[in-house]
Amino acid sequence: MSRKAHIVGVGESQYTKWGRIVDETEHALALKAILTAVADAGLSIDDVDGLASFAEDRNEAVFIAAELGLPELRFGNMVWMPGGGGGCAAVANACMAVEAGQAEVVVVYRALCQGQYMRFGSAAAEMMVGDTSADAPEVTFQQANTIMLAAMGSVMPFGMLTAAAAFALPFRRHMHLYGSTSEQLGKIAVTFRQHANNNDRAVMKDKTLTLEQHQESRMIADPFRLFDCCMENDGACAVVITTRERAQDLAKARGRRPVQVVATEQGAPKGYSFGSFTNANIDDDIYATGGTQQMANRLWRKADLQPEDVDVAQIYDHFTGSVLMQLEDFGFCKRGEGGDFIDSGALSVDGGALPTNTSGGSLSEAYMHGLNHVLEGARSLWGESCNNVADAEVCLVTSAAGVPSSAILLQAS
Amino acid sequence: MSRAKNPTPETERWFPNSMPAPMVDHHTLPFWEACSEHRLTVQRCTACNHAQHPPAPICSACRGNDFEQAEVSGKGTLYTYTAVHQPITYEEKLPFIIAVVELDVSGTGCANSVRMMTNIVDADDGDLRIGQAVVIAWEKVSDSVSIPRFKLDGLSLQQ
Repeated sequence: MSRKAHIVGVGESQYTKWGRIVDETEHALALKAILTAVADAGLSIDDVDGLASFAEDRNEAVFIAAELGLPELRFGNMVWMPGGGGGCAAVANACMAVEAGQAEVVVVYRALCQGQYMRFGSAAAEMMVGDTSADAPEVTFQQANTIMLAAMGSVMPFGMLTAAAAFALPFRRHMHLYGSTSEQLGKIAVTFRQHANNNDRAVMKDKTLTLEQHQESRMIADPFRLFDCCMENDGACAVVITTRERAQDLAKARGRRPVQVVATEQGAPKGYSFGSFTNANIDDDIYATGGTQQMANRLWRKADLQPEDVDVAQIYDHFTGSVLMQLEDFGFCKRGEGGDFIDSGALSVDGGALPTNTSGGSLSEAYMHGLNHVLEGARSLWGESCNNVADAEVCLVTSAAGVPSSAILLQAS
Repeated sequence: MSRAKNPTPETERWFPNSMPAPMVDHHTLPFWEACSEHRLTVQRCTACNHAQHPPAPICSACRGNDFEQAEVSGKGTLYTYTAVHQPITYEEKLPFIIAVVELDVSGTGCANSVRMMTNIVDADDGDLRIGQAVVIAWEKVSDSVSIPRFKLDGLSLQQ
């Protein structure tokens, strides 16, 4: 199919610690990333006719299109899958748009400048905490005026306001069922940090991390310690999607192999809602997982690929425990054996069976809600990674586990 | 739904008033009103007896929309938990424990058990084991709002 979707360009702004970017607006960062990615593809910005993002992006496509001076916006899209679960889904929507002929060149983007703007996920919390001060004479019910606030309103009285606590709950049960350990989580954090130490873009480029430092780091939400939790960062990144026909010419001009988006999937298990954040009644056989196994099975079937075919993986790492559970969901090891798989050194680019998060991921490169994982997926197949895996042809990229999620498989041809 | 007709007994306080109050809509209000009377309930579908929590507009099993809030015993087992060391309101004692508790629904006519998000109070996280018996510990924060928290069930610990 000559319209089969390919990734042809990637780009980002500088990534910094949370709150460090104060002299640029968030949407200006988005523009910077989009322009960089389009230039990387060898396209003109005038070729872009579609924009896609996810997770209640503040930088709406219609305004971005106007600021970019796009000749026409034919596809403006945002994903419903919540938070970091939607990054790959945004790429998937871009792919569907170009394959269906609704657009020719779609840019998927994400900009985060949380020091200047509201912190992700904090809106409800600030509103609710603010409304019930300690001086209030009477604590009363408050009306939930969105379906999300109704769901959160049933768990916030118990202090369920942070992602760390939400995702600690299923991993604590995983430890109980399968004996996985904090040290195994630490090995994930240390491996990704080692990858980032080789990455000039990484916020943690110059900070090394040892297993001892991980084990001594302060507890956030047991069993997650500080270094089990991803960073929060300022920056922006973007990915350009177009048809095979164009991609072959663009790749040739750039001396790259064309990178095809072989298959995409979104998935939320039955009754999942916002995952363990709001839902205590996730099915028992799914609770202590990333919730992505059904979706993973569909992805493998659709792509006609197997876990063994994957040369390099970019796995969403908001928390180390979610990486471990996704490794099981996607079939790289059996259920309950994620810890052993990590103990084997599998995730390291230095001889591991499944080099993972070769740029450092959200734990050590940057927290761009996982869209930077897609950039690294393409780079790892172009041989343009900071940690190249020799002869890599197939890359899995996943979005956040523990909430409704999405994933894509990339293949170089 | 009626408010508590009798004043509820004074209870211990474990969390500050700055911890968010329940946010309700038409569906969840009956649950929280029962809580104000210190009755723990789950939403039971009158057509198929499927139980669900929090209450929702329709039954996710049979899609019926006629419900009652079935009162449960207030006993349960610890399904999973986390000790939170990061402040939420900056007034609460740290760490505090967020837990998922599987409720005992025996004698309610409910077709399935139900879990709920809650806290375990009066316990150190080192004392907790998944599968432990727990029992309701009401925290009255105002005349209209009581929060269903849980504590370890001392009776079962003696077994």
